[in-house]
Amino acid sequence: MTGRDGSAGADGASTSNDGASASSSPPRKHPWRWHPSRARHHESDSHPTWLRRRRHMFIVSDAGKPLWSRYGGEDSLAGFTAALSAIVAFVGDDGDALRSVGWLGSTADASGARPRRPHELTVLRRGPIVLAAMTSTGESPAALRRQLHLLHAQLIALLTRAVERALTRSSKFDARGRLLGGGTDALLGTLAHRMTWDPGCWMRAWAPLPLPPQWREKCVRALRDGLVRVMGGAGAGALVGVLLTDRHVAAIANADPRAGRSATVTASSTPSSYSSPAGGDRRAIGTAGGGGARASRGRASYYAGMDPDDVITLCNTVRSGASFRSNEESFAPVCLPNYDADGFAFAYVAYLRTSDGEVGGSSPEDEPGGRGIDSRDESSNEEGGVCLVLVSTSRDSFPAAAEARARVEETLRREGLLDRIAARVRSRSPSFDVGDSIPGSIAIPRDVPAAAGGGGVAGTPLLHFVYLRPPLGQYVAPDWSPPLHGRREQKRLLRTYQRVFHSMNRWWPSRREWDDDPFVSKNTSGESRGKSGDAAEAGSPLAAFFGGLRISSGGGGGGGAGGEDGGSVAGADDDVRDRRVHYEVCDDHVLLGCVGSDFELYVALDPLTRRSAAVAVCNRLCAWLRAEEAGLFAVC
Amino acid sequence: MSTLPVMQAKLVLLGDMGAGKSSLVLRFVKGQFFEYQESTIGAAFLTQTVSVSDATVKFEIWDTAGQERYHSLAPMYYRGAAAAIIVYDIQSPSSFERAKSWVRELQRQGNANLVMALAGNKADIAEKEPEKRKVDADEAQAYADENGLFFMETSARTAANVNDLFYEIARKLPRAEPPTPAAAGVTLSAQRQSQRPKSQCC
Ligand SMILES: Nc1nc2c(ncn2[C@@H]2O[C@H](COP(=O)(O)OP(=O)(O)OP(=O)(O)O)[C@@H](O)[C@H]2O)c(=O)[nH]1
Ligand SMILES: [Mg+2]
Repeated sequence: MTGRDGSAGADGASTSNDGASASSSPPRKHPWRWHPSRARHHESDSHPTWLRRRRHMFIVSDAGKPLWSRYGGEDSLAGFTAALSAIVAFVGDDGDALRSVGWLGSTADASGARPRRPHELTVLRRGPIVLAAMTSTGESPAALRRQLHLLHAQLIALLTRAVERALTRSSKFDARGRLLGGGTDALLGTLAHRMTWDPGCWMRAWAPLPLPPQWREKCVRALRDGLVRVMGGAGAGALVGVLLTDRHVAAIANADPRAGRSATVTASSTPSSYSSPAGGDRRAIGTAGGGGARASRGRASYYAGMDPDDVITLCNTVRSGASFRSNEESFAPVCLPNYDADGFAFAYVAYLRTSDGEVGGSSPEDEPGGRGIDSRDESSNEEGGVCLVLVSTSRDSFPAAAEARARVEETLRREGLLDRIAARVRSRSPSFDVGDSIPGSIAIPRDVPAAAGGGGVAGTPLLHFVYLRPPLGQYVAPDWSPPLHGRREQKRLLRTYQRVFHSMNRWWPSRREWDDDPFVSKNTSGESRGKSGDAAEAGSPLAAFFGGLRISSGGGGGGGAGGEDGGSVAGADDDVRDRRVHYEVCDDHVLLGCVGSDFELYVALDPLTRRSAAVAVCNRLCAWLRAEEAGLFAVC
Repeated sequence: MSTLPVMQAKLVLLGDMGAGKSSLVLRFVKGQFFEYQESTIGAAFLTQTVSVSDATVKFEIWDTAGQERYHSLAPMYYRGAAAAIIVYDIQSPSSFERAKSWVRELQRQGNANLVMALAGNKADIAEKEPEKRKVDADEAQAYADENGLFFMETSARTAANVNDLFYEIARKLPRAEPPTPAAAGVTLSAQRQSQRPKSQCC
């Protein structure tokens, strides 16, 4: 590889920045968006700021080779990753087992500033690949394992499971070389970042764009028309079409009309962890009644026959690949791990033109060879745009997909749907620029009627909610509104949702494969807090890390979440097991969670709300959400 | 409105990651350059039309990703191509080696009509800081001559030689025997007779 300086910005390694007149700034950073410089490639594992980062994530081979790290240059983390694989080897090896070990040590600022929560290590083994999270965020091991599982799915989506076979066959296989550059850092980096901000990442669900049902139906019909009439349908390899915006999925259609039919009928949804079909078996995704392992695993029951994780990784791939946005048409191999983890499918990706000519990025200026040097207009580069993705198993599908695109675009434009979708996404709530605004989502003050708990800050105790429909693999959450417009408040609430979500016991048939760890460990954070100061002083920071390591196994779990920010509710999983309703009061909000037979609702209310009032709001909101379901979710 | 015959020509760019393939295409198609150019995923498809003395050529350009993991998919993009630009970075001998291996791979395809161009990109850097040059222009020229390629040093940044590169390819493309003036398009690529409305072209 030659002098790419894509990861520069922070380390100033740019080789090409020699023109004084050139405007060379990388895209401006949004405080809440992932940006290449967030990877901090200049940091090594002895770098104090590296040690202090709160949510490390790693992918290493079981031979101890670093494949990817959320922070720092993989090459400078050799000491750390070697130690990591030693720990994993020491703890044992039984295939898919998931484990977490308490991780104590130098977690206080060396400068003695503010004491930090100790880091904990959570490990997920998938064949020859080890995924690890080292966090001081208080997230539970179950929550982290789920995230690592998704990270693994994204890795497979990039490389297929061939990477596992290659690593197994030869420890010399250069998986790192395959992952280096080529947009991979952005892909995994954005996903790691998104896990904090998108509840769907840990709920195994995607966010549909709220749309009147007849609009959505037209979109779905247009997509299916393209897949079936132009691309030849499932018989010719066509799989799915997705219409997505920056933060939502507007529509998904399966080339096989039978796929996912049962999603709205049955309440069953069994997560799959991409077991491969018998060799060469590539039937349509999630065909209901298709028989065989796939159908019996319950995948057929998801909306459009698409496993939510496949939707999440596909959308992440498309959205984080800036090259998709800046080019009119792209064609790239993608793997849908839950459909076929062993093979590539091919995605045709295009941002569609709305009637004002906006493509969400590129200008329609087409004169050969002008002389200017531009800086990327970040606003158009990251915002807006309606993107069409057409996936086929045929590598020759580009011409057909391009034709299908023309047809889909034509239909959507004729019906005014593109403009409506674009307008829906452009309408922002006023809290934009303060935190992670999610344009396109419903807004509590604007869209939720007062009777259901809507209205402005002063008028309702309702602050925020997350409404999950597991059988659909979709969730709805409103855009942020005051007082939840700060990044910190938003993050805190999301972590609370996450903790409660993972602690609730569900009775809809669900076996979460990331959650079946027979091997949960007890964290001894209470002890560590007192010691951490000393540990930081001893020798190198890395030594200090390992100095405090303690491995234990047995019951319990929780992982430090408790006392510190849990308010009146303990963070340990056991305390809230078997609950279908969860109620907690803390400084920032009252949180009410309830798990129904085919839905889950988590509601955040003003901290002064009384219990009875909270329950009343929750009930009314729930009734409203149910009634509005057709417009909030993709169900047609 | 020109009466020149319109030819469609599939053109593929190959080369190491970061050599500047996308930058060259972007300069040619849109006249833009970005210091911060995102790495390509899979391949991007663009079109641009140029007129040379005896024809109007509509390039259907595949800007491929240099990342190693996409290598096995490259045939998908170069199959049926009328022209290929193999790009290396003059600061990087390894990217030059990679360019040579692309040339060998294309030669193995045995398409005698394929117009191949070798582009030593980022020439602007060598102009300012000669010590950064690691691949000699003479060496590349000699290699190109030996292998029947046509060679240019380019700079997507300053636009030097970028248009010339594409126009030269347009000139070198073999013409269809009897030029059919009013024909809707003589397809050299045999692939994808685009039904989409022509966005530009005169
Ligand atoms: N100084 C200088 N920099 C260049 C030139 N061409 C490209 N670059 C820079 O080199 C980097 C890589 O360029 P790209 O066009 O993305 O390279 P690529 O070959 O498309 O890379 P992949 O898509 O990963 O295969 C970018 O940061 C460009 O700004 C050039 O002519 N001069
Ligand atoms: Mg490129």
